[in-house]
Amino acid sequence: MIKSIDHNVDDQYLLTQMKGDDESAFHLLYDRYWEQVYNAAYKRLKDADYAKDITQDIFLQLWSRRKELQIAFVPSYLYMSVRNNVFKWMEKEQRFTTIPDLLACLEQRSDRADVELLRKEFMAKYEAMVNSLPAAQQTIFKLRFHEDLSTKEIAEKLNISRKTVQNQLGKSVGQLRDALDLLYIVALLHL
Amino acid sequence: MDKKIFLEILNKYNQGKASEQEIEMLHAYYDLFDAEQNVLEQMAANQRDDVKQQIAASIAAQMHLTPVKKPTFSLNIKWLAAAAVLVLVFSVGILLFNNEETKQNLDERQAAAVVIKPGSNQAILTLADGSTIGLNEKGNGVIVQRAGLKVIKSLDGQVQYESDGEAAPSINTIATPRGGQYQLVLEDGTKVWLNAASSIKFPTHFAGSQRAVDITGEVYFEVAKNKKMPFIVRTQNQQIEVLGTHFNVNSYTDEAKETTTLLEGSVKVAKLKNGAVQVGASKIISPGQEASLTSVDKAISVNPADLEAAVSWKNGYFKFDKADIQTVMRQISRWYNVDVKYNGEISADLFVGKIKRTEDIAGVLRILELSKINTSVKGRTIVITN
Repeated sequence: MIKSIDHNVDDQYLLTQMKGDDESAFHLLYDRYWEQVYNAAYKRLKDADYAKDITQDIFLQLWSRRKELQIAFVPSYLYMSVRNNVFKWMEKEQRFTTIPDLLACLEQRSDRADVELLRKEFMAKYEAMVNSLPAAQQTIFKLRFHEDLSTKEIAEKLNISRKTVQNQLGKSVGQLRDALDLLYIVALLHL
Repeated sequence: MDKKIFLEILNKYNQGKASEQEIEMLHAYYDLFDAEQNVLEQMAANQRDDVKQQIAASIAAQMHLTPVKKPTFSLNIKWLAAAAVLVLVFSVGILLFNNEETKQNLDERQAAAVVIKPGSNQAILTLADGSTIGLNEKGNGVIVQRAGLKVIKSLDGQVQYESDGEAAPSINTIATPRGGQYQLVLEDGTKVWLNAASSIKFPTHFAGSQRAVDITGEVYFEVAKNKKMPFIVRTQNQQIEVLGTHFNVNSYTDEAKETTTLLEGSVKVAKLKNGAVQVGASKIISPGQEASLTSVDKAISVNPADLEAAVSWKNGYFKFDKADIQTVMRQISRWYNVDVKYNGEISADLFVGKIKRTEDIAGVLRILELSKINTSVKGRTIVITN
């Protein structure tokens, strides 16, 4: 999360000044938030150069699109910007930290009481996602990704062809969509 | 959840096609990392300041260079980390500048823009019999038809060769002037981009055991794959041998070195001395590397390349990474077809940034002015005063 920072001059005032091409307002916003943006990117990427690139891009966007951006709350705008950038980067770099690895790493940090909370939140969302699949696909999905059976093993177990298993798996990933596309478009507008 | 499924969901997410549940799952995954350490808090204060300044510097370098609409660039700041180099960025603040800007400067730049135009798609085709055809005239279609050969102007700024492969190949040349660029599709499907003041000499169709062309200036290739017939590019001092790949060759004789930059595939770069390949002195480079040669008497050196900078010209802009003023101006002079003179000592400052090639000369001069480069224009000559 990106925390709001209390200041004598509030963010909204700086945004208004920035729309009028005031660079000092932009620099103040940079001073105020760069650290949180950088930290947030670094946590996910573990790479100083990429964290720098993302921080740079996010603030350049903030400046170059200053006239058109409608920002209600700077911390949440920045939070979503970092997240969008990080997800783009993860896709490009094919980066995935398995959940057990991630949790193992986090659990070493006894000072963070919220690890368990975050983990529960993730598991809940993950299950909700699997449960949103049609029943037949769910079974296959769970066997494949929870019990780690191969498509061949699943085919034997359910007595269906391997091709069917593969098709269903493809659909599972392909059909989970629709409902809240609109939400995503909103997020994109904030990019 | 395994990597494959994660990446598939991520791909959908990035395209705006993920379901509500997938979006929430990914967001929860993202938030899991929140419990990690804040890396900046573990750094010493001066280290943290360095990071802050590096990012601020690269933001400043780009704040005024880019169109307000949609920045598609990302100037990589890796090198900045190591830099103990004076970097004079291409902008020092519009406000500051506006106060200093004299009306005379403005008028002079506006007047220059009437005379000096950015480069455009233009080139001259020379056929084997010595006859020439200007390629900048409007109108597409077949421009040359000979026995077994067709040259088609397929798009604005591009010609395409087609051959039935039976008639004897003849040698053609396409050359761009200063202020010109052009694209060409060779008979084998290889795509060729010519930068300003460049040329390529090639057969109308390839026969024998190899596909050989000669170039001058700067040329970008996307070579059609053909394992049986290696593609050979010759410059004055180099021979580059490839199978099928994307690469850029910068062989301008007024540059300090000849550079071959590889984007895909692999190429072998060898030295040519009086037309003969120097056996044993060749280097094979892989994608992301460049081979440079400062003189035939020196060894070819291989280094990591800035791919974006190497092909920026083909993508419509100039990109400078720590370039000195002469390097900057050589590119400007070729594209705007202007001469450059220096008054006083030549500055040792280095420049970073991008300029669109469609920018008119008034815009370019203004960018230079913002970088504290004093310019004046006389006819087609830009005078830089230090």
